[in-house]
Amino acid sequence: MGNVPNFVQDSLNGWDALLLAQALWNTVRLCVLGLVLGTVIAFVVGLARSSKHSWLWVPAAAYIEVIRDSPILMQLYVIFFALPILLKVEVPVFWAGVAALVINASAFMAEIVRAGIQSVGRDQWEAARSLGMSYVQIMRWVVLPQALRVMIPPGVGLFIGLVKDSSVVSVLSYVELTRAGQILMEKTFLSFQVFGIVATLYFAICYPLSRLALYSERRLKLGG
Amino acid sequence: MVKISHIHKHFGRLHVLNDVSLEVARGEVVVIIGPSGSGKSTLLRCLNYLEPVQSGEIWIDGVRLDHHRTNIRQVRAEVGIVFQSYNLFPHLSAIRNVMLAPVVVRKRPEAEVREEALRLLAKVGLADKVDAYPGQLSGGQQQRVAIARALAMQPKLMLFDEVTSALDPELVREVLDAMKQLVREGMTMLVVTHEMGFAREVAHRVVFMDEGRIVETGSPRDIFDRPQNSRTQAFLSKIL
Repeated sequence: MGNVPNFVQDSLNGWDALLLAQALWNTVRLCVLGLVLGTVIAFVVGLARSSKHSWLWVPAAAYIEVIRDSPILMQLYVIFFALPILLKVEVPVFWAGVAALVINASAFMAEIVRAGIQSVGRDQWEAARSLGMSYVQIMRWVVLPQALRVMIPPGVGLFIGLVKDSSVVSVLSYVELTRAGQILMEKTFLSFQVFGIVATLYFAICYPLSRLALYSERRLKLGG
Repeated sequence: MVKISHIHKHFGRLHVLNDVSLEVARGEVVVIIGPSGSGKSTLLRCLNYLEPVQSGEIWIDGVRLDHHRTNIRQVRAEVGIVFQSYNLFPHLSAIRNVMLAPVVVRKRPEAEVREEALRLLAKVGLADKVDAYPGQLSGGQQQRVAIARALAMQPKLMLFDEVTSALDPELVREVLDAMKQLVREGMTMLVVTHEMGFAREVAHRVVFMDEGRIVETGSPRDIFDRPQNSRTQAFLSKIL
């Protein structure tokens, strides 16, 4: 038995660590872009959704429903496989992943934005309007600062979900954490160790997010 | 200063303001009394366009309130209103509440506005509560911050919408005192209130409203001691 050459690597080495580090960086890049761009779009869509003009809220509501009611995996396929055929452009796998995360995050986050805005009572609008403030001024100085407090807890929940959803990009063979885990698993069969490390790295991204949420919630509460 | 001419307003089938006309001169203090649902608050809210009217005209300092946007904001900036439920901005300290509109709407320098805000808060007796948040203040204190906030825009006209109705009895006086101070300074004021003592003491003219109409108007003495209209008599006999 001892003569049979062993093709299976029986421990993780420095190259594997490097692969994991690269994969971690790729996951972080995907998530940060998804989160930042998603939030920006979410505010635009959420403001439109809470408008009383139908030409604003109807398209916003349609966007939210279409995105929320279809799986992110399917959206990823549409962006990566169908869009190139329709538009005759090739979408690099990284940007396909970012796009899927952005539209997903923006649709869910838009509802959080809307709920936050609507949590600020009519009396606040009236008080601000009676002082001669414009819509933009009221949003900026009166409504959004109060809405933000309501938006942070569900918003962070969404961000954490986004980090985990980023694993779907692995189906396009993009080497983010989950895909790196699969590669190392196939190479070493050390399933417990490999996925133990991958899970720990996901935790390392998500946990600070929830701490940050707690901290900012507490800080915002100070103001009455 | 204010000229209201034959205005009508409906909420659905309810005729809330029915052919209301009223003029208020500069420096005049007019107190509006009447049973609830008589349209008093709605009338005030129409004066800075929180409610649009369906017909009739409202003129404030020579400017007609109509649907043009900038015009409305300009008028609002010059008409201060204080609400029954204070409506302070809960995320801002007392002084920030007072400073917000002058800085954001009037674009005045912050340092200058801050000085004036301190002066106004001192005037309503809150020099020691400058940095407190609304949640840390009593109802009477909040309402006085709301008065200072409205005054910070240097309005030509102040509207008071049942500003003491939500207050505990022992806190009413501090708010009324702040208002009396304004009367002495010659501010033009339209006051909706159930405080008949206040009306008798400071009003130049008292208006009695019922079912969306102005039923009777006259000096406090005329209205309180010699009401002509039977509905005014009935209302006053119930509350005095």
